[in-house]
Amino acid sequence: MTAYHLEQVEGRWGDFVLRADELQIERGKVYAVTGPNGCGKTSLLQVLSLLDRPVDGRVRFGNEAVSYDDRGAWLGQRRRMAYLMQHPYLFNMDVRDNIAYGLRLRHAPAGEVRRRVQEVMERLALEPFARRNAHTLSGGETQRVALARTLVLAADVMLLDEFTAGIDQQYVEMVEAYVRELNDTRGTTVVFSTHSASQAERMADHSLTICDGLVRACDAGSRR
Amino acid sequence: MDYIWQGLRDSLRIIGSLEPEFLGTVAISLKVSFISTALATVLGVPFGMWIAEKRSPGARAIITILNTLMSLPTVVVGLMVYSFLSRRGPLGEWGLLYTQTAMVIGQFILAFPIVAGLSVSAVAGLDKRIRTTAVSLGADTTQSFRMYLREARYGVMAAVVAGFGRVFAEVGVSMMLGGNIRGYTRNITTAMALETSKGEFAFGIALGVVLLTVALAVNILFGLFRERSR
Amino acid sequence: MRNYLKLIFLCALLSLPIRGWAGEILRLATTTSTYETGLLDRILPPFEQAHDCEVHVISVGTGKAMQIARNGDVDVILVHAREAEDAFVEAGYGVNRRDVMYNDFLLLGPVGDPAGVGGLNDAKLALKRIMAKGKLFVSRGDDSGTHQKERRLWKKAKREPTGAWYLEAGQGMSATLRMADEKNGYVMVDRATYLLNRDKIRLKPVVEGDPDLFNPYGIIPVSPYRYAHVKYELAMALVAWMTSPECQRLIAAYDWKGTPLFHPSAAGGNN
Repeated sequence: MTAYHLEQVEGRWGDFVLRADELQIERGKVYAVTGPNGCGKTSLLQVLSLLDRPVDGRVRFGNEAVSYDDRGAWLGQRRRMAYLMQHPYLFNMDVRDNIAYGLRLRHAPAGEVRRRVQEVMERLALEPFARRNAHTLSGGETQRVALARTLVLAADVMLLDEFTAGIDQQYVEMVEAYVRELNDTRGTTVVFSTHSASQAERMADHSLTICDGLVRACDAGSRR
Repeated sequence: MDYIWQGLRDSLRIIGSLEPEFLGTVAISLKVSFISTALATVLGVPFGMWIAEKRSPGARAIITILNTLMSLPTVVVGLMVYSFLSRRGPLGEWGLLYTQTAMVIGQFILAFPIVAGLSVSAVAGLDKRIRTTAVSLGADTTQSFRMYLREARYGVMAAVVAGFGRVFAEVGVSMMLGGNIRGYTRNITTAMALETSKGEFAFGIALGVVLLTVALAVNILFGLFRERSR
Repeated sequence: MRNYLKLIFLCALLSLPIRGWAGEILRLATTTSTYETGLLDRILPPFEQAHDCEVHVISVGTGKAMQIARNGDVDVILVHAREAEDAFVEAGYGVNRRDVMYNDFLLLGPVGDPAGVGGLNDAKLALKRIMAKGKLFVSRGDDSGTHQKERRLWKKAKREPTGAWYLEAGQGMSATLRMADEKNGYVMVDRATYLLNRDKIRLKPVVEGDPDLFNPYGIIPVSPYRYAHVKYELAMALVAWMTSPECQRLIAAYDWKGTPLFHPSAAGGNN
């Protein structure tokens, strides 16, 4: 079963070009996107999140072609994903409401929202900040809240752009363990970008490297 | 000094006993300023947010004009509106001069640039990532726009409060367009002008206390909203 | 978003009473010297009750009152500048002018009377002397009835008042009186305003009793031929009331600590 299938895809951001001739992402697996700074890791995640539309090629999500022009279908596909952007922004509201935002967008029942927000806050040690305004948090705290906001969605696919950036060392393990657990128990597909070879090693089944704007898959992952 | 103490004492008595004339004057001020601010909000906030998003030179020119108009002298507005509303003016048929409606029009013109201009800066101060963040979490266009509005709320409230503060404390427009008619267009500021000219300080001081209290509240709210909008 | 809708709603709600007033409104422009005496608060309520209307009083100088009337922004004026009133009627802006009441002007001066005009009963002479000695004189300077009267006196005295000693206040009667008092200057004032402020100022009367200081008040409805929208009938009803024996008695009885402020003068009045 595939989560994504990219064929002859070409995306452009100004002068920068990203190509993926043939890329398959399997459902239930963990992928690390690696490569030097500015090589296009974020661009790949933008394409996978369906927010940026390639100028050429075919993108399939699950069994369907992505329909960028049918806003309803596009929204339905996007809502099966959870995307943590690089340098995340937290809304000017308290931590709890920030985390609940995505669930409320999906019109989840209030009781379920409360239960799931509570659970993710416990898992990421965010309870002490629950009622704090998000704009008063430190960088590492902000990153953890943004991650919680993404993970709480329990989406089919999680796209995490440098998800441990800025997080204090003592919490990195906790965060990684939780991401891995979601993959294990729910079969969530995870695609994350990272600078750290050791993190890729620890977490991923597969690696995607980007070299000169070309995305390549290689089975460098050693987990399991 | 005696007459100042006397005035202060009498003013406290007026405030304490809630004289109908005193309350009526305060009510007229609140009503007229509230309506004019509400109108300026309904039109000025969307306008300010809309123009702030534009990048054209025309839009920048309009923002500059808005900022200039923020300190528009009240008597200029009074004169302008007077000449339009007078029976000899182009809108004379409406018979609006010396009515509360005329005061609302004048105060609206004073408040609009403030509300719109400060809405521009409220929006300009917003983080550029708000809408993309909402979208990345699964928001549709309406939902992401709603979040954008929500993030702007404190800055916008500060704009509204500042607009209210301006019109509540102004005297020129109210005097020229309202005519200081007792029980109808006499508000706090025009009553104070009249009472002072008559040498009656107590009533003026009592109204001044209200004016100061409202001004203080306005400033506290403005500061609070400004703080929160960061 | 919900707050925003609430605001719109409140705004709409509060706009209603602005235009929703049911009874008729008569707009009367009058002079500050009449208004500040409070006389109108005594004589207008019976009229308002009898005619189920509301009289909106706009208090300005006589000159401004006439200008407002010329623009058609009021229905009737109560003023005191006989020559200007006649010109107003002649030019077709007003009709049916009637005498209502009168009092007189007096000249006030600082304690010590530095210009030495005390006791004169010739206002022209007094003004000439103030000018010759260059003593401070505070004029209304607002084309009000009092100002027009003052200018006519200067004209009669064949003098053109200019210079640092001559201040034009550009304000209402009480404010001008207060300014003269603060600055220790001479000032011309109507008797009603003087009596009301007597205890609040240090200035003392120096000249009074000159026939030139006679101060008659007249009421003039704005001409319905000039402006079709004016409430002419209601204005005429007010004229009828003001000149009625009943109202004239009220005017005669309106006093300040025992001294009457105005004397009724309508033909057939209780004079």
